Amino acid sequence: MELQYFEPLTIEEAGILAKEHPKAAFLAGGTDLLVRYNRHVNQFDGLINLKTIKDIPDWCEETQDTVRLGALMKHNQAACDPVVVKYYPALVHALEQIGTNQVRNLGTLGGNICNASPCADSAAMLTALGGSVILENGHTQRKIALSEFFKGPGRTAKEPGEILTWIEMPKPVQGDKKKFFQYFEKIGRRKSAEISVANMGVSLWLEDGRLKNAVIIFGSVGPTVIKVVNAEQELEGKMIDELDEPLLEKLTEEAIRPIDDIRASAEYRKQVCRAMIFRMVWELKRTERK
Amino acid sequence: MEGKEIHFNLNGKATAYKTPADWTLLRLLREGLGLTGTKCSCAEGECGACTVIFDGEAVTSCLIMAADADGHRIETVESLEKNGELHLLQKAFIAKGAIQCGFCTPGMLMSAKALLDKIPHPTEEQIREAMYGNLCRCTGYEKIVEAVLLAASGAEYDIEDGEWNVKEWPDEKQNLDK
Repeated sequence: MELQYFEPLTIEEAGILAKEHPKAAFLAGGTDLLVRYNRHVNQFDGLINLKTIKDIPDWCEETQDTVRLGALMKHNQAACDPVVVKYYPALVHALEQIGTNQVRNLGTLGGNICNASPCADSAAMLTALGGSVILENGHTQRKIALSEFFKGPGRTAKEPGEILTWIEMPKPVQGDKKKFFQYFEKIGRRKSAEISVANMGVSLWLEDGRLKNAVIIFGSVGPTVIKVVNAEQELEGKMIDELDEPLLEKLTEEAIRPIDDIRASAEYRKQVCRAMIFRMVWELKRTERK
Repeated sequence: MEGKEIHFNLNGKATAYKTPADWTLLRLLREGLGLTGTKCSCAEGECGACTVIFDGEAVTSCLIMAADADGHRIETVESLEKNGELHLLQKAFIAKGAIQCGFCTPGMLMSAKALLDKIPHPTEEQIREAMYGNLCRCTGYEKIVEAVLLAASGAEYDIEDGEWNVKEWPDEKQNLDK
């Protein structure tokens, strides 16, 4: 099949091309798309290159209350960005575990999100940090929380012609009595170049020793990232010493929906998710005692 | 779009090529420009045999469309040898016996070069970290890591019977020879 290739210059133009060529795919970093292309299992007949569009940012912006990451930022670039390093060390930890060095130099944050793989390492942590995405079509823009954005494997709330431009996160400004805790863990069969068997991103606030606004996200154990709402509510307002780990493990196991696949069994995934939430609480206690 | 006339800096030289729109950078290098030092193995970004340096960063050329090279700076393994003189890394790979079948070597060299360009004296951990994305199925990893450490050590070499040997070790790096 002849592959058509387009280099639009504006978001609007890219949107029009996408509507005219419904089987064409948006190309950002290409680390997933080109794997499918090289294997000849591509279901697309054209590529719409987004890197030629100047309005899609590949930099990071800091405002009073938020940090915005450009959709075309590469994983390695974001992991080295001083603003990201300052506010989101757990995100750096997550980004550093994606693929290989070469892949992290190519793959983009926006691509990883729009690809909507349930096991994307960046998706779990960005969602846990309260991230939203900004979608633009050249005329209007809208903002949608990442927890609402993923609809299923490879499916998102993005409408045809819309392009993700920014990933926006609230900026955690800490004080003497208000501390921000963030945690990322990935389980794989080896240390590098591994697709997650399960991963977890957590963020929460400690105000006067009480836990507030916890977000607990698991990846690779359901069709999208899974928000463990019951465990989040269980943490709300508790002191660290009052935490009931077995209950948190139980609530986690009830919320996730893992399947058996080539990487691990559903049963194993349940076990490691229980272990991960246990280790998160352990890390929380350790951090607090410092 | 039929094809695209791209202009880029390849191994220090301004290069123009009219590439078919459906080619990857790897295919452009090997089939279009005859630079077969860059190898194609997995074609899915796992093995690193096709690693080139793109604007100073190691990348897998199988996962880049050729058209995306337009306006960028690309270095391949062919750029390492200068005026008949092998690059320090190439000498170190030979001196350490870090090449077995040799298929992964161009990618290994380019990942190592990208690292040394940024961090001239990396630790063993930094080397392993930077080269996770390069697989060697002869499993000569120990010698490969040693070779990169050797190249970064500034040791001097001698040639004897067509083989490279270390002539003089920098004092503090003596233990590398063990």
